[in-house]
Amino acid sequence: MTTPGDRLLTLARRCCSPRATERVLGPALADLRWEYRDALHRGRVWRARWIRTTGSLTMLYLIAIHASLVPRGSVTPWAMSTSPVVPVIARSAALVVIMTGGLIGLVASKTPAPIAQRPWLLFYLLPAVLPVVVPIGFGVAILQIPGARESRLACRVVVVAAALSLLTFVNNGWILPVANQAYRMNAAGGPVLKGFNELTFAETQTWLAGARRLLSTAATRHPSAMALDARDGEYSYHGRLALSAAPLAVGLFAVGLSGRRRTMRAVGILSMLLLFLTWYAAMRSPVETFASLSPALVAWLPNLALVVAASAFHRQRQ
Amino acid sequence: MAKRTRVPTLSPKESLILELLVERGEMYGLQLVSSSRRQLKRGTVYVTLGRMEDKGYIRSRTEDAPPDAGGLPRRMYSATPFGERVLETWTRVAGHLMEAFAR
Repeated sequence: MTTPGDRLLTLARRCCSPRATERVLGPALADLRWEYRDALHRGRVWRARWIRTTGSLTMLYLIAIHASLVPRGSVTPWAMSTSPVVPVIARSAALVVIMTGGLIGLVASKTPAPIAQRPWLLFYLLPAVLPVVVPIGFGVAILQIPGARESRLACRVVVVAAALSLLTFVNNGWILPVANQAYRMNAAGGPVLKGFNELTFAETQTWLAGARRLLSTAATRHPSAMALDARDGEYSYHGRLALSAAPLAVGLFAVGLSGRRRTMRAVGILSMLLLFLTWYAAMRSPVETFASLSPALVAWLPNLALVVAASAFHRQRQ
Repeated sequence: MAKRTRVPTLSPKESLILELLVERGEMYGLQLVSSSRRQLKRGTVYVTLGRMEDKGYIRSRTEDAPPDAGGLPRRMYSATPFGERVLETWTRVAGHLMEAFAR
């Protein structure tokens, strides 16, 4: 086995301030190496491997904090890293990364051939996955921040939620359709007709208006098929719009739930996760799942449920 | 106006570190983590130690590494007389507060 942490040390020197490297990252790595060496000298290879793994994770955590949150040359580089918010952000970011990997893996498993040949195609799936995992990570983060219900912090949470919603709106309306279409074309190895999720918001609206016109004047030979298509289009359109508002709905829900008992918060997190994942799975084949409900209502249902719960929490507090 | 003197403060983690250092003498970061019975975390102990060094509660010296330990010197921490005094005062004040509120 080689000396652990050489690359991490290079990374730390490149990304973090010299002061943070000398006072925080250096001692952390030195301790890791000494303990690793001691374990090896005692013949405890598995213990040494364990020390190396946990020590490397700690180093990565410290580098991430000092590289991203603390300006280079800051007088007190550790001020941020002892704030209770930072570990929460780090944990939630890890959750987002794990969930993104899981969802992308799920999609990849369904289309193994092109992915195995060209793994970079997976990047095209990011715009489809991030709008689902980011609200969940965001909600989980807020529920762990102590005092998120205090008005000043709650205001900031809502501002961040609104910014995330805006970014998701841009993603869902313009980036996702392009990325989806690029993925399909690359996977098929040639031109493919666009589906609803490959149309921008404006294109979907135009298509829906045309379909409604045709249905109202009975100018189509297959009205039932056209009606099903129109419902599919509406699900896609409202689903993407509702997903854009999800960070805001989740933010309000999590602020309302924060500061409550641990069990209550755990139940809240689990319900939120279940709500989103069930909804996301159901929206994959909406026409079969929600035959009798309005597409707009179905799409906005999780957000409405979260906002109603948030308002109930708020009223209870008052 | 009279010049304000800055009152030294001690967070629970700082207090624990000082207690360990006063009780057991010089220690390194991971040793503090393992001695604290999970009260200190690997990810935060070094930043707390850095801050305490800035406050003057502890001091550190580097111990040269043996050739097969990767060349990085290990940092050993010990309590300063000022740190010991702060801990002693802080413990006394906390005791008085506990007594006052227990009545």
